[in-house]
Amino acid sequence: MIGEGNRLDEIVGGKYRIVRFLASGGMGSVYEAQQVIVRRRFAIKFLHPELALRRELLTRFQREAEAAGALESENVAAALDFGIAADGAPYIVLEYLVGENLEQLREREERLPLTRAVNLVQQACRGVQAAHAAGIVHRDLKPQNLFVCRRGDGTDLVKVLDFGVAKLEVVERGGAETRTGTVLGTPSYMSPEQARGEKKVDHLSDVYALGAVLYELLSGRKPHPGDSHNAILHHIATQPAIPLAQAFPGLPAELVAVVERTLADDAARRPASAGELAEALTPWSIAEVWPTPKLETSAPRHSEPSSTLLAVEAPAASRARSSPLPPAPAEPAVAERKPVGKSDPAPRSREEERSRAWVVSLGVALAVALAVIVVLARSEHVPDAPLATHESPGPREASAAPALREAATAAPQPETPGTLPAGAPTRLVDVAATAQSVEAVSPVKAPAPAVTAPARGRTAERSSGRPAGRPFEPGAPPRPAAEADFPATGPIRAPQSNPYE
Amino acid sequence: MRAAEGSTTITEIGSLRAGERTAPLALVWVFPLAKTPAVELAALGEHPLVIGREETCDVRLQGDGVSRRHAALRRNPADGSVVIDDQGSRNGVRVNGRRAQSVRLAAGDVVRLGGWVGVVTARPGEFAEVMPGVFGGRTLKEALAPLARAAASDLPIVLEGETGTGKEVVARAVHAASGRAGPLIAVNCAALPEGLAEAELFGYRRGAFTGADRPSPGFFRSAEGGTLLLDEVSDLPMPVQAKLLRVLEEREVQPLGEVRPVPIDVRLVVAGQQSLVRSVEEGRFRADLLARVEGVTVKLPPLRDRRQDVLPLFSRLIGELGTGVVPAVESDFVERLTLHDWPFNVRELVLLVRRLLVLHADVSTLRAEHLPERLLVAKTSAESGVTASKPTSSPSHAKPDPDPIELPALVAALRASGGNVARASALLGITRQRAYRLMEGNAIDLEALRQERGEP
Repeated sequence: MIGEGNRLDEIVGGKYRIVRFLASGGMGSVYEAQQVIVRRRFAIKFLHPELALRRELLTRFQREAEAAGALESENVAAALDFGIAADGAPYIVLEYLVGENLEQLREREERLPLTRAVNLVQQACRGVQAAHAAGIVHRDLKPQNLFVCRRGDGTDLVKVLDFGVAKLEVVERGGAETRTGTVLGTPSYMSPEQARGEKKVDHLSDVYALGAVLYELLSGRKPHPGDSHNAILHHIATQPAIPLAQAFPGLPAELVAVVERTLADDAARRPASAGELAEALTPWSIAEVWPTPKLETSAPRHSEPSSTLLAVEAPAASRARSSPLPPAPAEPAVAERKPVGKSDPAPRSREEERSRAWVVSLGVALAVALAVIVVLARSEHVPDAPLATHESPGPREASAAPALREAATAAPQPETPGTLPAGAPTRLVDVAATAQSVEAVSPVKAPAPAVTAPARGRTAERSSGRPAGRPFEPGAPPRPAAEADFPATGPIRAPQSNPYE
Repeated sequence: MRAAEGSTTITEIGSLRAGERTAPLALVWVFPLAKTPAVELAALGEHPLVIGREETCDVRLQGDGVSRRHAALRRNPADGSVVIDDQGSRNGVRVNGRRAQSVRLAAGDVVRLGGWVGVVTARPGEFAEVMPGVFGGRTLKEALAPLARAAASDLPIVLEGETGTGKEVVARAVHAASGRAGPLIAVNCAALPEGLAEAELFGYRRGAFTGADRPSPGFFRSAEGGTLLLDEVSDLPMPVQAKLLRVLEEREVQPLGEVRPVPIDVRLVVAGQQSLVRSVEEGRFRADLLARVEGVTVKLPPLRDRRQDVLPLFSRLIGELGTGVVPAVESDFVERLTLHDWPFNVRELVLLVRRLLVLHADVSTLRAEHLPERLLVAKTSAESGVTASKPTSSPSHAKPDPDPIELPALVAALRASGGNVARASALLGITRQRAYRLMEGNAIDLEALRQERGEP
């Protein structure tokens, strides 16, 4: 194992300076690095040099990095670079993400407003669809693998993490599947065919998992009951999910139908693709600005290495929607991986175990570290300060803490100033009208994150006959918000006012 | 329970009886993943087969509570038996509910390794729908195989099986498969009022006897064009058996009080808890009638002879009878369920499911503690499910109480139904009369239960 800190100040690949140790897993370590010229932050994951001696593992690692790098979706956390360090350790350069995973978000919020839950899953669908189109099946989609960042306009941006991990593991295990009772994945989000250990696990299993995540976000419950891994597994394999309408009454019947179809035992009954599911969710999906909770900054540097990486958001008391909870402690990247380890506890030979763990932590790195810098909050609160990394190579501290602390005090700026009375969440009365007003607003410049996904027209989504008023739950009024999709480059617009302060 | 004791064959754990041919045994997994390939014990050599989580194990199991190297299976060269050894596992090896260091295995044994539950059987095979509405594994499939071909014919069929093994369900499946347009009429001959059996079976004219104020077509004519199931047929009085023989030979019935016989087209299925041959030997059944009805004879296996079917059946039933919210099950629950001897067979399982749904509707995972006490007693011995003849296993003369419903279930059902006895008994699948009898016998205060509900 690479000891933490022993790469500090090392220049990797001639251009990334290691700034900080973040986390280590069974197969390597993750560091924060800064590109020496443009001074942008990245996360770099190193494979243990010994493991790199295993040729097939290295090849697979590289192939996976290539695949992840090739995925052109703003909803997939991207691998940006790949190389071999001076000591022979292969590394992968990942987006540096600030935000929290869906599990953390859900635990904090208990149950998300319908429109937000649907929008998050819809974005995840798009990321997964892009992977499917590239021939990659995820096989382990779950809230921990869906990372929520912020776009420049304050709306959620979902990044799907850990692509290819499960698939790699399977390859790893080769033909050893005879006479084994081995099931990969996290039980609660596993499709019936996976739970039964059937061979045919394809993209429709991912579709099922997305449905399971949505089910949980909508109802606050998992689709299948069970107090243990085995109990859940058996229930998925033998019983239908608890009807969503029973788990949480009062949801729109059509939405319930979509979710239940997605969770169909017979894969042929599910939406034919993640894209189709995304399409089916359109009527209830609205990108809105939700209060940006305070970013966690106080994490001890070494005991919880990734806490700054995965800046955990906690609700600020002044704008907490529900009862304010103490900020959840950030989980280190490796810890994040643990649930999976638990669900798949069969150790192989030590070598195998290592290589597996490695792949796993690569996933984590992808998951956690992917470089997207959601500068939103930061950019919004100091109009004249360095806003976007590429524009402001100015003095940034090695540690992100100060910046994050600043960000913590910032609140998102709805980009429709005229429509929002300051100081209070606004109840959206007429969706259509708001949508129009949003459209009328001049394009807001997003704070150019590293990965500048080309703006994609959302107009279809916006105008696709969303039943006005219907999708909204009482007590959770969506805020009028600029939807995403503004040109991703250009100067950041300075905030006019902060309605939340 | 009295009946349970009577139906258990006591043998030394794991031993094969002298002279018994070694069946090709397999260890099949029932929980949590029934699709996990069975471990063939017949192929075992002296080299042990290791089961555990670790990569190097011959059989790898994941999930809860399985140690890296958990157990090993080997053949004992001395007597050829298969032995399972604990490999220093954390949670131990349990055979038939007891932790064991080293135990010989035999068919019918229930093996538990951590969170996994398996059954030793000579009949491994997938659980499936054997006939329409009849579910089971290979044991049942093989038992019912003769029906597949016979169903479409008009051969009479004899079904033998303990109480609750599903004779009527199989009769319905036969009827469905026969393509006969008429109805299926099921008659329990033991329940026909003494002296009225003939009238009920063959019908009567109005005024044919005192009390016959309306005419009745009788069961035979009611089943015209269809199938008639005569359950407990050997309980028919001898004179009626003679008339039945005549009906079968002439293919016509003579209703009481009618002058002319009426031709009939009815497919006959007769059933009983014990073999009709034995009834003939005991002088309770006419030999010539047996010869006339014995087209195809099928023995329905008791549930304890197909333990690997118990959990899949349970899952099916709780899915069917539940209201959408079906609880999960934990391995200790599954172990107990699989170990139980089920003296009342599938009917008992159905009642258990109903009971659990009433008593523990709000539980997300069913555990052993949710089971009635009599299921929690450890099985004391293995019994061989592969033995060809096992006369002691049939409790046919024990006439056990057919409704093993406990009082708590009734009370809970009454609470759930707000003191409505009809609804409570429907919930439990018992008759209202029986519910009242239970209440009287146990001094249940119905009024108090009803008032409970009114209280905030």
